[in-house]
Amino acid sequence: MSSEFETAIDKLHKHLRKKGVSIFLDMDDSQLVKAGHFFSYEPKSKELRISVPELKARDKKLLLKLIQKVFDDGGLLWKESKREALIEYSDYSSGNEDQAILDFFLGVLKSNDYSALKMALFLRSQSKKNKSVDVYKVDIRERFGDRGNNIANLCSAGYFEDEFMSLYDNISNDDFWKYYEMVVGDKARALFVHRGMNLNAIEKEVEKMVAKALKYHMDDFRIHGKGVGNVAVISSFVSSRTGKENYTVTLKFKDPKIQAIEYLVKVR
Amino acid sequence: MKPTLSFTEKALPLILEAFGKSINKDGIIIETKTGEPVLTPDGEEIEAAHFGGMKKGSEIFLKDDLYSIMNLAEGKF
Repeated sequence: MSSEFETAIDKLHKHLRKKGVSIFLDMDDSQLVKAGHFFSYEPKSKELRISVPELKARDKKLLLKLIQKVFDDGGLLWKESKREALIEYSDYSSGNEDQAILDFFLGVLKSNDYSALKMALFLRSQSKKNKSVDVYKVDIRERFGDRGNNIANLCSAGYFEDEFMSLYDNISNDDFWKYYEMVVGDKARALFVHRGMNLNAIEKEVEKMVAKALKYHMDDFRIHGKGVGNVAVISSFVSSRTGKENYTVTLKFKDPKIQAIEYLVKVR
Repeated sequence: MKPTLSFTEKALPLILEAFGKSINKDGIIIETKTGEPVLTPDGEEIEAAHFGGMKKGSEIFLKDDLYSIMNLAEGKF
């Protein structure tokens, strides 16, 4: 077996000398192994698939050396389950449709907010392509907390280009940062309804938003929702208003195609 | 940016072993010889479950989250 393995490893090294070869390494009982092989090479895609469920000590050494060689030659070793994410982000950043927004906020926002915005713009771009973004949302929240999560929501709803960019150029620096902190830090400008919220929760959050609006001397704020469930619960909230509240609710935007809704809440 | 070698979760111990690393009882990636945790360029410990990969520049160990992917793709590491 060892001599067979050595011969195979030699073949692997030969394949590796070819330009543009990528390796997929598994230790599973794959189809390859069932067929009595532990590697295969696909010349068209230049993909070398290696699967080694069990290794003798001597054979393992040879394979470890091969891994070290790939690394020493400057190759990137990367988790297979995040391969697509890396390629997608690389593609996005090389032809970045959001570059103007990023250029504007570079040096304006603090480092963490800027990174959160960059991630949020990518998330928005992926979402537009109907790709799953749940895992990225978790990444933003885990790294930048509630503030990062709010930046992602605000970015998704267009606040950065529609509000912050024009405000930054048109009001004093002091006023801008007060406003920015009120929107980003204190979440006083927009309520983003998420899956965990029912009618009762929305009513409570709206009351909090009204209190913030009074605190900041603001006339209004917005309610945003995306997805069938969120749109339904917001609609139910709106239709159950009696008219006796200290605010009015007006529909500003509705897109049944992407299941998105936006209401303007005016505080009386 | 495309990886040269992509590995499954099952192959992770082999990747770590190639560079003298292993996983401790708390699931953190460590230097096998000293038991010291391996750190990301931002000085964070790495849970094996969230290990993304590694690239040269001596040995740069990375997490698998979007922040790491973003910095990796933009050549910040």
